[in-house]
Amino acid sequence: MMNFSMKKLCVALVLAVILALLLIEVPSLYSADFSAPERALTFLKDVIGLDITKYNVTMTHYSVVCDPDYYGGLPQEHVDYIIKSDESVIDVSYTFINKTLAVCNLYAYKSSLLYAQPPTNVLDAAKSIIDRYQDYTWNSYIQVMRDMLDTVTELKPMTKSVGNVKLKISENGPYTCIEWVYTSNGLDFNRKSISLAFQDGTFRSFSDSWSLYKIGSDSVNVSEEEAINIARNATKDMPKLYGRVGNETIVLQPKVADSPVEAKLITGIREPLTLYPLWHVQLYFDKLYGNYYGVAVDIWADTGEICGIYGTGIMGYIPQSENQQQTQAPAQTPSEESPPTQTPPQEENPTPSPPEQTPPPKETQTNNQTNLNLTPFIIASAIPITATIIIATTLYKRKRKH
Amino acid sequence: MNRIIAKAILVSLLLLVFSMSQLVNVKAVKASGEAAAVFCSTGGLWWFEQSGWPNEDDVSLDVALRVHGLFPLSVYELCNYYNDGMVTKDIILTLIEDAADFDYATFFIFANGVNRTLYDVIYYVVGGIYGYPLYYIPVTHYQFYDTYDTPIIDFEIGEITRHQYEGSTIHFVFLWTCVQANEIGSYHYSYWIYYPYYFYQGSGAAGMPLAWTLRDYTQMSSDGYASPDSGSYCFIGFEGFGMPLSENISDSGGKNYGDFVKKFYYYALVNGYKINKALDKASYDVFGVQSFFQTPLYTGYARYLPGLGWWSGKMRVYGNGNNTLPH
Repeated sequence: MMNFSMKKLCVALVLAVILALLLIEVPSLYSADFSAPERALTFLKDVIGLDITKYNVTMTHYSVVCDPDYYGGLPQEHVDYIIKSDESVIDVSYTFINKTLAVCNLYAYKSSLLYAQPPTNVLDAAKSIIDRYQDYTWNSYIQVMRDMLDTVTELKPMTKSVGNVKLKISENGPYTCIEWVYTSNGLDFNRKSISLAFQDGTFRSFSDSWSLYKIGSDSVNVSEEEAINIARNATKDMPKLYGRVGNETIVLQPKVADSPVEAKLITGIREPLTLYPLWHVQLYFDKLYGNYYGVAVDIWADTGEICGIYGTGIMGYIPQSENQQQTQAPAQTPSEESPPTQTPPQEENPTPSPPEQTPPPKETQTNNQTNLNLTPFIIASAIPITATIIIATTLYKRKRKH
Repeated sequence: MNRIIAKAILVSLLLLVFSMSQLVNVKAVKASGEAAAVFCSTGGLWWFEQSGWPNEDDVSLDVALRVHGLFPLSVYELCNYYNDGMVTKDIILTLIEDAADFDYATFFIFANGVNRTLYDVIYYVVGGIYGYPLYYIPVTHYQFYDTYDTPIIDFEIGEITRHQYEGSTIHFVFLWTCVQANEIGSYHYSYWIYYPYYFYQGSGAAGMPLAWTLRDYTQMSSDGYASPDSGSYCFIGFEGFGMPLSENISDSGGKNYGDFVKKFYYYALVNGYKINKALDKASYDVFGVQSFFQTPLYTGYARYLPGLGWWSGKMRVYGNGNNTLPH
């Protein structure tokens, strides 16, 4: 009897231990159980692969903000570290959104990074980072990305798609960027992506917004032609355009030209952190009106609803007379030319006066544009010269009297 | 007789020194501290009648107000804000001059701007008087406009800053204006080519970054974002045409370029981030990319202008983007 009870007790104990073990939540490094500053350091060590032991680590900034205009008001944690060694100074900056790592930028101010295991090249470094990131996040979608990277033999601009993932490799000056974008129904949802960038072969930045954004719809129910028609109808009654030239207010009635017209299918945020297909239609005016060259209409491609209408223009100063007459030759930048004439375009020497007898300009017409003023220098020269003459004359006369 | 002439020369020299001191603005006492100025000019601006469309004057005003509000008054002894009718050439040039009274001064200016060609001139000098101009050498200069369409030209700014003994105290300038960052620029001096016959009359500071900071193209990094120099100056502006602050960023859920500026200053002044880091952070929030180098502002953009063809532009960061603004 006693034996039986003991056995039962032992079995119960074993079961209890097993149950307890099952219930214990092993906190992942990615989970919310760790604070953002801790996870930031872990990311640097376990994902980027820096040998933290060789650095002196100081947290320089930590703040949390909830801005309803950004990320649906979710908490954004900003964490910054300066990590120093004898050879290098590195500034690392993180943003965590809703306790999840969103972006990391690294600035190496001195020398290169000290890795635990230095990568042989950028492609290897990228592969290692993604490998380690998978262990860091335990997110299954990383594996597809890692597999895609295995098919790349050389880092050069390219795109490649597998299922809902599009791999994009791009180069821009010293930057090489490897990006995995969510793609569906021919649409690239650029904001839902994982991105890794190197500058001159050194790790520069990382972002993961894959789980931050969700897809609201990938249905394109509005064709390009329909989108253009919607845009044209929406801008049928073009509002007047006002401009001030001097004290005068000028009123213009912009007219949308039949061509050219551009329509681009992109994706945009309709509700916080939710992406939808969007037609961006650019209509052009028949000519420039003030600083405006046209009007853009953004239309949700799934519903046909207008998302936004706004004038499109440039900063710069385009004189209205030239603008209206359309006589100005095509130029690459806003400019105001003043061709050489027979008279010097500038009347004053804005630099130090030449030695001794400063020759004044022969012609002294004022140029409103340059607005240079010679008067002070003429006065400056005239006063001592006049004084010298007066004093010398007086003294000479006195001498003669004596 | 010789003594008399010597006395006359001495008196003349004293008079010369006296008269020059009235003309040259010498700051005898240099104060310390920080100063900031925010300008929002409406010169050359156009706006749509009430239609619910975003207008550049409203958006730029909002941006300038927000930016001004971010400068901590506990740090900035002087924090000026001017918009619309208050933005005059005189005020801008006076504040540039007043910047010499501070250790650190910074400007954010929203305005319209252009480049223009002026000319350095080589004169043939006859008997100490300018003779005829032998050659005109074209030099590109830059100017932006106050609310009354009066141009503020680079060489005018350069004339003020170059009289500051210890270099310009204007350490950070963000000029949201067309073409003002086409180049860093260089100083076009006047000098005798062959005394006393040929005189080169230079057109002064050519290039806005140079005019504000007194650092020419040999002294400032041409990409202060990707490869900052180690100086204390940074200038941000546009090469080619600038983007209107009111222009939407289509995929962003209603954000515009003005939001980028507001976010940049927020990170630079509230979080105390370096300029480059603030650019990166603002880029993520507004454009949804991890760093500034992935934004169209850095990579460049082009727009078709009816009758004028394709125009291009990009934002340029000159000098040292690793600097921080006092915060």
